[in-house]
Amino acid sequence: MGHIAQLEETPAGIALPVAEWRDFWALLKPRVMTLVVFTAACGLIVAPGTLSPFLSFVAILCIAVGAGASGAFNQWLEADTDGLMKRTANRPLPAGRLRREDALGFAIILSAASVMTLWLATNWVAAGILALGIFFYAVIYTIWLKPNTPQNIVIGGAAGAFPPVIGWAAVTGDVTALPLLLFAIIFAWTPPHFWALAMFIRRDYANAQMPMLPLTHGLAETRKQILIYSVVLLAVSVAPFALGLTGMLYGMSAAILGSIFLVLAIQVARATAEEPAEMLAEKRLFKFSILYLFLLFALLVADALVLRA
Amino acid sequence: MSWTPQEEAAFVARRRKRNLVIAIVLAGFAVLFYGITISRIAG
Repeated sequence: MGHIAQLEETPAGIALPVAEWRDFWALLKPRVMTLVVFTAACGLIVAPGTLSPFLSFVAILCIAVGAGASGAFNQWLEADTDGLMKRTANRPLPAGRLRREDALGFAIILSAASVMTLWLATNWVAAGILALGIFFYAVIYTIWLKPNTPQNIVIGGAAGAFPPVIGWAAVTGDVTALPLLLFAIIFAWTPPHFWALAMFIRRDYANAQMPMLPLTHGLAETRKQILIYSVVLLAVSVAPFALGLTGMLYGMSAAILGSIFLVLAIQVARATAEEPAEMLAEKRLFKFSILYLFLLFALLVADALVLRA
Repeated sequence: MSWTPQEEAAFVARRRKRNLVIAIVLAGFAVLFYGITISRIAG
């Protein structure tokens, strides 16, 4: 039993040298996976061409597992800093319920299995982008950007923008203008979404010594940047319609949703609250940003189905 | 390491549950690859 270094506490208080399956499940960041599965499915549905329902299911499963593997790499790399933040201190690694080498092995196996299975089920383009996405999140974002630059969320946003592109490529075997614009939408959405959150949990990031924008450049600059990216998001989100790649349903929806997003961002830009409890505008924008992305992609799918009917 | 009977029973139960999940995942993999093969051949 010497190789089992960490003991864990059961609810009954008994120390046990074996992790539960729930701890491995938690490594996958299941809540993040929801958005990944949804945007990947949207990319897959709006792509021209057909993929059998079973292979579509396999493709989305692989994208979800690949995203989960990225989350496992992330938690393996950030176990120490996660332990310093209230939001993440109870994750399996900082809480001592799981050994680090088990988490790493789990992440490697899932990465390899998801990429190779996606290749077998669909094509090498989709599998290659999935591999790139995992590498980008684990290495470029977690190791390089996140601990070193307040632009971490901006460039790192690309990691979360891959799923609709992979979904599209799984069907077509290539990447054209529309999937690139879907990538750009998530890329532009990520900074205002994350910075709104980072503003009201900035003390957690300060404890973990993460150079988030509200800490390095202050609240006023963060509010200004949120507004700038919200304008960019509005422009990028209507671009698919402006370029004739989608129908009127999507175009109108993108304009309305983007305008609401922008109004909320203006409220954030005008706000002056410094205490997290008083940051109502920031909390409102954060909550709406999640709804925004779900609605925008759902309406993109609805638009594609209407055009095909 | 010496355990009380209660600790040992809890350990065995937890290990059994995890092994069961691994078995289900492996069986799922077999079904998945069978399905992929059939779908690709049919396609």
